[in-house]
Amino acid sequence: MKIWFQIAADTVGTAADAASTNPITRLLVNFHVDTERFVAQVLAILIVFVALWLFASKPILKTMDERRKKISDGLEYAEEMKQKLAEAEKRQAEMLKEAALEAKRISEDAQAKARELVDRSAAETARRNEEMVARTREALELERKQMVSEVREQVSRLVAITSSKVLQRELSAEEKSRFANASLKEIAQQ
Amino acid sequence: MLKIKDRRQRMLVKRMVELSLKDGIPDSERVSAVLSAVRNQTPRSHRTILRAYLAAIRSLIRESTLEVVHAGALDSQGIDSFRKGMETRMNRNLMLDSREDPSLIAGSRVTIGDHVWDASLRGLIARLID
Repeated sequence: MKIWFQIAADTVGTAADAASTNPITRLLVNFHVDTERFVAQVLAILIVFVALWLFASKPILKTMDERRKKISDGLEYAEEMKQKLAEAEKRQAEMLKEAALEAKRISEDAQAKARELVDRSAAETARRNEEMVARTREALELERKQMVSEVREQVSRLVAITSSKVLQRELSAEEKSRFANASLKEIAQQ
Repeated sequence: MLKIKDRRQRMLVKRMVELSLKDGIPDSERVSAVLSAVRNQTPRSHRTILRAYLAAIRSLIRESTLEVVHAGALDSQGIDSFRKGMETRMNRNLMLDSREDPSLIAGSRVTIGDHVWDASLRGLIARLID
């Protein structure tokens, strides 16, 4: 730029010397460069540049910043989501592991309870069988005792009746009197 | 003795029973006298009183009776001596009620109230059977 201004100044300052031997001047003359137009164009370009910088570049930069920020936020969000997903997967894995352990524990408990129930049922059945056998034995023993008692009672009655008849017939009145008096003495001495 | 709620009636029955005893044994003459007195005076609730008096006299007769059931004749001196011995043992006078029962086969059975002494052959056989 500075060079161009220098050239322009030189051009203006030495217009009269256009036909001089300065190669730049000759070059400008040869290419038909109009100094005023050139300056005006430069100014116009500067104005356009400033206007563009003021009215286009700023919104664009702002938009770009917003976009960049959005993208950054999106990336952060994606990263956060990724972490959350990882955490969720990790939590899910832990839950699955816990669920598997719980299921295993429940299964073991159920098996243990089932075994206990079976054992208890078997023990209960055995106990009932023993009780039934014991009751049957007791009933049989009781029945046997009753039968023995009845037989003994019948035999005893027969013996008593027979003995009574025999003794009544065999004992004389004198013997009975002696027995009666002796029995009274026996009672008195008791 | 039947339970009487009224204290006066209870005392009256007790007094009637005391008057009916002679040597600790209910005496028929005294009982008759007590009954005639009751009949003449006719106290209130005399049915209850007489019922309680009857129960008391019955109980006393039962407790004072020496029941001797025997198989074969008893020596009169021996049975009198036995009665005296039992009176000493029971610490009260006893009325003798003696009767013969051939079913005892031999020996005798003595009863005073709830006390029973069985020295009969039938009782012996029964005990052996048991």
